[in-house]
This record gives sequence, structure tokens and C-alpha cells, in this order.
Amino acid sequence: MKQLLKKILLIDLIKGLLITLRTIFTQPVTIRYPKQKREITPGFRGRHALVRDPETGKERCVACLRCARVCPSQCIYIGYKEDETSGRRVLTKYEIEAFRCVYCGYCVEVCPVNAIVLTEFYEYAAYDKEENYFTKEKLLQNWDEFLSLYKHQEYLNKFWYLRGIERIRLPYEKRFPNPIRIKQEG
Amino acid sequence: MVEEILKDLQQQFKEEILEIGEFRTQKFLVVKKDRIKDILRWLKENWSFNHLQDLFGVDFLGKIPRFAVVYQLYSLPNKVQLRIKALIDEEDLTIDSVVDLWPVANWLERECYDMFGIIFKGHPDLKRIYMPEDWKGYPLRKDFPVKGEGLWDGVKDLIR
Amino acid sequence: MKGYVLEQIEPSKFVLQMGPHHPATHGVLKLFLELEGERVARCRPEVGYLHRGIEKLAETKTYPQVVPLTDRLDYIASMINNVGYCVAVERLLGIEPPPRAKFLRTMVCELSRISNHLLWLATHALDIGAMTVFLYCFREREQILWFLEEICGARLTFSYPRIGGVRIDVEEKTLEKIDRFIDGFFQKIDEYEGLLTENRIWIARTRGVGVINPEDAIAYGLTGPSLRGSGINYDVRKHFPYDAYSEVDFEVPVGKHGDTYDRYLCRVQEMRQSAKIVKQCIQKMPEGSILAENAIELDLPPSGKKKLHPEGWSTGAFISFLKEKEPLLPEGEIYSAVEGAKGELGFFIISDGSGRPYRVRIRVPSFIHISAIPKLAEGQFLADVVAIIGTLDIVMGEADK
Repeated sequence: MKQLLKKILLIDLIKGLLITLRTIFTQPVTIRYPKQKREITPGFRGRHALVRDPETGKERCVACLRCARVCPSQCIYIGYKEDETSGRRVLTKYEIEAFRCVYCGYCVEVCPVNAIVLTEFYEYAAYDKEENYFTKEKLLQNWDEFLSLYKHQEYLNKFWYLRGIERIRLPYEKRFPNPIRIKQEG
Repeated sequence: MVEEILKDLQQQFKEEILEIGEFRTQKFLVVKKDRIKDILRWLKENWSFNHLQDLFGVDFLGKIPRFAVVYQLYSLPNKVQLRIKALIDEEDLTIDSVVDLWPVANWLERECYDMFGIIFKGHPDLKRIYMPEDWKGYPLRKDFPVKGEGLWDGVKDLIR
Repeated sequence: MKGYVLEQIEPSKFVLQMGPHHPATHGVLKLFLELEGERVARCRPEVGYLHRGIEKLAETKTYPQVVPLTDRLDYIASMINNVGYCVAVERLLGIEPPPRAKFLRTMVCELSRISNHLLWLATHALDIGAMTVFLYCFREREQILWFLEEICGARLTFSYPRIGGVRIDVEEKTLEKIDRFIDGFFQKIDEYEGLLTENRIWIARTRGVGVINPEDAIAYGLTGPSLRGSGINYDVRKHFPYDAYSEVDFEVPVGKHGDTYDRYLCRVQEMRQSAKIVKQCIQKMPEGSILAENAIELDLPPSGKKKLHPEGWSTGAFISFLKEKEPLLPEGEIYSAVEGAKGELGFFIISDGSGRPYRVRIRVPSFIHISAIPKLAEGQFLADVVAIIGTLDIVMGEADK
């Protein structure tokens, strides 16, 4: 009897309509891109950049070739030559083909001197393909552009110090967090 | 439970079984391919291996016999897992199909044919499933290069 | 085109190709339907439009480099694919991850499962006609993707688990945010159920559609919620426990009739159980390291022998004092299965001692469910075919590998 009454009076449909009526008076959660943008969580894997060392002003890379070896899509091309006097390696060519990259972050995790970073910048669509084939100068320029848009005083990427793994197993530079201080102009 | 099954199997099909092995507590059998359907039917009816988890091929380039078809079985009432490998020679690339025992084997055997070239006798509809119908070559064999062997004929038609 | 053969059909049948470009087929799936009036007489699905050769590519990469490849199988709940591959390699090589890594992986897997079921409910309801549920489900799914972005940095293809544990630790404030979200999530599930479960239109569209009895369901290879809707209690998390599933408390919902309505109820109850598991994981999370001691390193060499530090762990190229060399990895083969969001996801890996796997075979549930569509759809109306594709929860990235 109760089932028949519920069926005639459309109770189930009215229950659904009450739920939608209640939702009319809640705040919508839409963010109107591009006028409103969401703040990016730290650690987001966006455009690649080579870190400019604050002391020397040049890149930190020592051409150990670990990032090129670990990349799953083999999109990093490195060239180096050996300096005769000191025996160190000097970087001559560092190129990343961004269209082959899968943005996994393995290169950032494996680099022993924290030379490469996947910044939190993601609006870099272009009309021709050559703009996204990053040479060494373009990567350093990416870093400068990213720092000019960055709002805080110092920058630290969480894949640079890998919390949770025992410190003795990591290379020396990755054991403690060393943030990069951003110089304020003026 | 697994030991009883293996002892029973050894009594019934003594000539077919080549090797019984174990790795990390998973047992597997290596058998010849001639009476594979009888072995599987016996296992399904007597020990209720009703769930065929997987069926696929492996290519051992450089070994004789070259190919193997692996059947991964699971018995839901008894909770027993077993793996059976049937070895296939390169000259005689055929094996019996098990579609009437487990209907799931229909598409799994088609995929095995598409990727390795192993022909299943008694299959209702054996044709390619992932690659286009007029593709030449069998991709998952070890001597098929990763980048492929040149342009596909269908693309040549489109470009022209 | 060359190579195709025209089939003979009878004059009274009407052939309809529900082609690769179709909004209701959840990807590129081609269905050849032969219709007699409004009923489907014969149905033949065809796959292969998204085949990328993941099994062949995995033979050219080292073990840690395959993890971003497995991301792209089931791209809606990609943490579960990563965890499945990592669990398989850990069982093969004999590595045991630490407890904190196990709980983190379980929590992240269940969050992925909730996000997958939300997307399933959204698209299934949208295909049948209920458009509001789509927007409500995506509101919650967006929150879950924000949390996963805070944990690992990406929204779709995470590659967060690693062979031996996870890559990076989670902060306390993220765990608190997830806890607060889960507290409010149970009311949202009540909202979706209030819109659909007792609705007479929903019941008329899904009761008695796509019925399969239990013996046929196992014979046709269905697993996951599609099998549990028919009454068989087979859940890989209970039969072959992995990670921290033996230490949390949850139930497995099982249906009775085997039709679309029971599978819908199974999945909605699974969402509740997954939320319960996430809450327990956050409460019981132990402290400690997140990577096993004998975990293999990220830049594993493709071949050769392993260098050992005097105290036992393997080193990179920088440490020059070497004690001894031992063979890189043990040889053998293993089959290991995980409870994917759609069914049983199995990995069979053969190792030949070098740094690259010899054969990686991935057993995907969607491929097998698509082969069961003719059994479910023959004899039904054309509008029911859309409901059946939705209820089996297929995604073509997985079915085509």
C-alpha cells in the first residue's frame, strides 16, 4: 500500500528534484580561466629549466650524463669535452626535446648537483615546433623567466631533497634542503 | 593441495610432462603441445580450474623449441594457481584451441596469433585483432624491429 | 581498401556501424551491429585503433623506465597500474617495501579507485540521460586530483610508486586535508544515490539489462565489479593480498541478479569502502623510511654486474671504492595480479638477469570485457547497448595497450 502511494505521488522523483534545488543555493566551484587562475601547488611538473647558480651565474651541470641515461624517452642530448689542465668535463651542448618528454621527473631526481628542474610554469604553447626544442641558452632563459614571475623569496623544489629516504644513500648535494635565494631588484 | 594435483597429473600424463618447476612459491609445468587440450580439460573437470586468468605467447629466440604458449589457471573454489607452458617448434606453428573450454580464450588466442603467428586449430574466427588486416609480419617476435619494417601499405595509398 | 572481404547479410537486417568516433563508446571502439527492427541480432566489436605497442617497448627499457609506460594503460586510475607493475617486480626480485611505503601506496591506490568510479558514474549516467550527476561527480574528482597533485606533482600520469617503495614522502598537512575531504565525502555519495538509486526512470533503464549468470561470467573472463554483480565473491585484494590490504578492514560488495542495476550498486558501495580504507590508512600511517634497503636504483644499467658499497647497498658511478661485483638481478618469471579499477590487472614478467625485462605481458580487464559484449548485448534493444558499454566500464587505452 505504501509502495503504491509512493509510486503515484512521484516521491522518488521529488527527492531528486529537492537535491538539485538545494544545490542552486550553494557557491559554484568554477574557476573562470584565463581571468582567474588557480594557485599552483609546489612540486608541479611543468616546463624544464637549467638552474643558474647564484654564485657563479652559470649553469651547475657537470656532464655526468645521468639524466640522459635515466630518461625513459631519451629526449636529452648532451655533449661535453674534457679540459686538459684540470681534467674536469666542460659542457658544450645540452638540449631537451620537449615534445618527446613525458614529464616524469626522473632527471630532476637523479641529478647529483640539482642542475635541472621542472618548474611550475605551464603556459608555453607556441605556434611553431622549434620554440619547444630547448637549447642550453633557452633553458637558462626559462629559469630567468620563471624566477621573474615567482612570488616568494626563495625557491626550493621538493625533488631536490627527497624527504623520506635515508640521507646516506643520496649524493651530497641532495642531503639537505638548500633553497635558492631570489635577488630583489631595487 | 598443489602437490596432490601435480602428483595426479604425473600419474595421468606421464609422457607429456617435461619439467615441473617452482619460482618464488609459484609452480609451473612445461609440457609438449600434442595433448594439451586433454590436460586442460582434465584439470578443468576434476580440480575445477574454472578461471583462465591469461593466455599468451613467449618467443625464445635462439632456443629450440622457439615459441611457448602459456596458460595461467586459477581455481576459485580451491584457491589454487597453476601455470602450464606448451612448447612449440618453429617449423610446425600450430596448437589446439581451447575456446570450447573457456570462451574467454577467443580473443586471447586471436591476440597471440596477431603478435606471434601461432595458428590455433579449431578456432572459429582466427584473424588479426590489433594490427590492420593486411599487415605483414608478426610484431612481438624478437627479430621484428621496434621501429617497424618500413611504411605500411595502407599509408602509401593515402599518401598517393 | 585491399584486404577486406564483404560479408553476405540477409536482406531483412540493417547493419549499423557504431564507429570509432562516437561519444558513447568511451574511446575508439568500433561496433558492427546487425539490427532487426530495434533489436540487436549480432554484435561484433573491433579494437586496435589505439594500439601503441607497450609490450614491445617495455622490452627495450630498463625496469624503472617501464613505470611511466604503465601509466598510460588505464589513464583514469593510473596509480593502480604503477602499483601493479611495482608489486610484480618486487615479487620477482625479492624486495620488500617498508611499512610506510605500503600504507602510502594503498592510500593513493584507493584515492585513484574513487576517482575512477566517479568518472564511471558520471559518464554512465550521462549516456543514459542524467546530466546533473556528471557535474556533481566531477566536482569531487577535481578535489581528489588536487590532492594527488600535491603529493606527486602531476594530475594524470603520476609515476609516483617506485620499485621498492615510493619516490617522495607526503607532508602532514596534505594528510589532514585528505582526512577532512573524506569526512564530507560520504554525504556526497548519499547525494548521488538520492538522485539515482530509487529513481523510477533509472530503474526502468537498468533493471534486467545485460544479464549474465555466474557460470557464464567466469567462463567469459569477467572480473572486478562486473563479476561481483553476478554474485561471485572474487576480489584480488582478498585472495592475493599485497601492500597494506591485510591490515585494513573493508568489505567486498556482491550483487545478486547480474544486471546493470546490481553492478551500479556494487560500484557505489565500493566507493564507500574505498573511502573507509583511506581513512584507516591515514590513522594507522607508521613512521619510517619510504624506500626499501635493497631497492634497485633509478639509473639501472641495462647489462653488466652490480657494484656494492662495503656496507651492502648498491652505489652510483661516483663512489670509487668497490668491494665486489655480483650479478645484476635474479632470473625467473612471475605472474602477479592487482585489483585494478575495472577488474583484475595482471603482469607476467620474465627476467633474464640483465637490467631489461625479457618479456612483459599485461593482462588487461577491458580487453576481455569487450569480448563479452556480444554475449550481453544480443537480443537487447539498441538503446541498451549504450547502457551495457557503460556498465562494463571499458577504457580503450587499456584495451589496446
